[in-house]
Amino acid sequence: MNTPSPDQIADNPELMLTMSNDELFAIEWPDVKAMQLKAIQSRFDDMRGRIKMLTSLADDLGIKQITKAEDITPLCFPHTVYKSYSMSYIEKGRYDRLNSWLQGLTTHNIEGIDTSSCDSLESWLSLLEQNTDMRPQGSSGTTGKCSFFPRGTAEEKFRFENYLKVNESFRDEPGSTLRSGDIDFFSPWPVATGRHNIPGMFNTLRKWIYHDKENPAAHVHTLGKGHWDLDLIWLSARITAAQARGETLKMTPVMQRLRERLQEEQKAAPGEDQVERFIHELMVDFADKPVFLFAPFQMLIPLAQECAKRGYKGLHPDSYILGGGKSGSKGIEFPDDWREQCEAVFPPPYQEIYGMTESTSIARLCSAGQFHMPPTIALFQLDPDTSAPLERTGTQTGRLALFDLLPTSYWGGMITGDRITINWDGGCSCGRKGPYIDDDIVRYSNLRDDDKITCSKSPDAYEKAVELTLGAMFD
Amino acid sequence: MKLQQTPDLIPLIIRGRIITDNLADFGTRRGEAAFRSPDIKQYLPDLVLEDPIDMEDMYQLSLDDIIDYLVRLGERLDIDSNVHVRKALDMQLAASAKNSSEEMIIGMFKALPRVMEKARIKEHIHHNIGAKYLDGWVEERMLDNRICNIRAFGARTVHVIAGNASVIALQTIMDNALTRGDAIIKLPSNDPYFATAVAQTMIEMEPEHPLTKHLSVGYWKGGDEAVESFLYDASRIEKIVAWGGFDSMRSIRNYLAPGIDLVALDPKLSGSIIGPEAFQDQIKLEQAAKLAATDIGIFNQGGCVSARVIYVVTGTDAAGIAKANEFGQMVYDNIQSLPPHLSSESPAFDANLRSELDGIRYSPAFKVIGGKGAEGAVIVSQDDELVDFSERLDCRTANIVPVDSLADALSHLTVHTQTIGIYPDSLKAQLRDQCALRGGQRIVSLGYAAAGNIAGPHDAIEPLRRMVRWIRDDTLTEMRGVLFEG
Repeated sequence: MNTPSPDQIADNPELMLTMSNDELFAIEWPDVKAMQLKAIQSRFDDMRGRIKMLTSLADDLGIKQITKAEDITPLCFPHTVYKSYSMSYIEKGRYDRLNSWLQGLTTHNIEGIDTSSCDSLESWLSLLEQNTDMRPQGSSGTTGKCSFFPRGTAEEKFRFENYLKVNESFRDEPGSTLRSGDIDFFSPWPVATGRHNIPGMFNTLRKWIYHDKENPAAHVHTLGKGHWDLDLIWLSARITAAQARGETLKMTPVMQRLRERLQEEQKAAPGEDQVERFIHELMVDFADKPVFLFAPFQMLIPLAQECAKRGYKGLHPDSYILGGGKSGSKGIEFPDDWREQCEAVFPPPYQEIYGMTESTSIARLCSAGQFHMPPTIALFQLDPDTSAPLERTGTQTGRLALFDLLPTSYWGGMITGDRITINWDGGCSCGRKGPYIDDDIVRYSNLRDDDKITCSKSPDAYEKAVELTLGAMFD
Repeated sequence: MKLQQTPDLIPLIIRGRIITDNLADFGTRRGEAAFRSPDIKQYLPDLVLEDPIDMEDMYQLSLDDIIDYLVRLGERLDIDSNVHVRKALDMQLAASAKNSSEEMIIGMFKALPRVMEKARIKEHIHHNIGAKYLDGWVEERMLDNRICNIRAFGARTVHVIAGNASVIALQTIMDNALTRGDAIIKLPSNDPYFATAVAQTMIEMEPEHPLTKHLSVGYWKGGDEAVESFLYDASRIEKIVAWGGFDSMRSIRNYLAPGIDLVALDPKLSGSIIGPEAFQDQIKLEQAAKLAATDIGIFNQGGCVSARVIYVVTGTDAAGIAKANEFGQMVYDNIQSLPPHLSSESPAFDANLRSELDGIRYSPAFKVIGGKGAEGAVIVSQDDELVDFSERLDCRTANIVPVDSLADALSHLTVHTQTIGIYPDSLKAQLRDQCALRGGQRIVSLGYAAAGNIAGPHDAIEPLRRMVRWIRDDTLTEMRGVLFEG
């Protein structure tokens, strides 16, 4: 197949899914910009009457058309949109209201679905999945409030395809052939299944990569074999937050039922030495086979330590290790010699990626140490104080906003909480065309002046308590 | 591009000495140096009063001498004539993250010296501890004929003060003097100069005075182990008075050991309860909206007394929600017309709060009135659930929550609740015991939550009584009815 032209891509951004990394990053930046503008315009025209929250926002701002790409930034949703329902909907079991709230964010028709049989978040989400092409992704907030990202089957596929691609090679950079199904996937993640970002990706691996195998689940090796039940996470975060606030949590009948179910499930869970089993599989059973090891550094470090204790080291030379994460960024400080500890067991290089739950594409850290987002995502930066878009030239630091060109059932515009530096004029020595992102991404919320003391309120108090209790496991 | 300015120099004050060398830069997390100050680690042995007997000099002073000193100090804190206070004011005006308008900040600085008017100091003492306990031994004969003498003694204390209002620094200095304490004030990064300015004024006024010599003021980053493991030692201090902040509190708790008393002035949140009466009559409705707006908007919601969540007993049926929405609009309008020297748009509207507001704006669960600029907002919940970010409400942003009954409103109060503004007044007597039992600390007529009056107790925290060490001296002769007699 011929490489699609920028004009063809503008009319059909999905064509980018058929292109290799070499092809995607060879498109000249002016062509990318023109293509992205055209695609944004057509997404806006298509969705502005079909996604209620977008319609309200555009009407409110009086925006009827997009003439330059930056015009889209006021229409980008803050991530808080995806948790903007009332917590009482869940506590009182009002899944009808939750459903009509979620309808405001998707083009899938879910409003008519009868939710009267729902008695938990899992039952509600399963009902949506049985009756529509929605595949909502859940994530847990520190207040106990979950976000629901209205992904559909199409976008789930796009996201997975891009996950495979970001781990494939660009020119002579290392890459993985995970796509072939011949390589087993390992991750010291605490659970195997669930509706969160990472377990969701494990699900898709089983579904789309290992589906031909006798036992697809056996090829996705995780440390924990359990399930992240959204109801469990919601309830435990809720209880912890209430305790930290000094509140007595009133258990609604819904919560009471849930708690009983969870207690039963916990009793039934078999005990086994997860660490022993996982390490044995990775270091002994697969000692002679290439693997894909996904372990953010906060997990790779303890894994390396456990392996070293047992005297294991080395992976098959064709293995691919996806790490990532900075010391302290999730509240966990790495030891000073963490890299040496890791390298003594797992031979480098370690690849890193940057992305967010809400986008279908991911940026890869290149051989020159810069992140490159594929042209499926239009990047913008906002002034952190005024939210005005920054010029897309030179080097700029600001809040990242992005427009994901691929989604067709939800709005692709979003504002992140990340402070990033973008080199708009491009020219990265790795050879990729287009702008690149410095490897010093921080969350604005981590930039708070923590030595500022006031006599009023401490939102951090319960947030920190929840973080301490639940650890940094929740993405 | 922001103009790069030389960071302000904040001297370290140790017992009447003004120290300006061994400077270190203290940056904000965003990278730019905010101010420079001597590295306190180089001065730790001087900072502490090794021998507590050295506090004896303050016991040569009568309470009247102390009050007289404070009154004279107050008279010198004028922004036009005092260069140090002027600098503190200028630093606050220049701060990038300030929450108040220039007019408000200047107004607050002008009001500060009034805290030290003689009548106010005396009222403060009377309501919070009693002058006689500060002035000498208070003698009382007890049932068993013994003479019990009680006196409040000062303590060697580290004060970790809050910086959202400069009056906190002033009150700390005043209370330390009144209790004859030996204070080391740790400056907060959000008000790193005012306490220093007052200390410099004291040195200029009376360089050798015992009250001047028992005050030190400096900055270190909260949690700095090298500083705190030295200071927070029972051989060097008796008390830590700590305002708010989970981080600072957590690091302090690591050092608590027998011999150190932590006076924890926890951060608090305030709210309002508006009874059904307000919604039965248009005049009352308008009155309640105006008063609620005052409790939300005064000082741009920057204090622990500021109202954030307003429970309205309108009912939660469609008619009740409609009433709450109507009330929300009225409260919003009233916030916008508060006098500019007391309330304004926020010069630096909280970006995280902005993201929360933008997130719920088109949700069917909430009605957001205003908040597109920096003028503040009223969020009306469309059922009886408050927003999940209720503890972040700030910059004149309130959450009105309709409830079916007063009991439902009361159920939301916790140990973190401070002030509860109630409308109408007649409801206060009915609700106050329940408010208290649920954790509330101060019940006040709606509209007067922030009405300034330091004579207290301000709320249940009683700092003056807790700052002192209570000492007892018993004289026992000719006992009668002693409990353990055979």
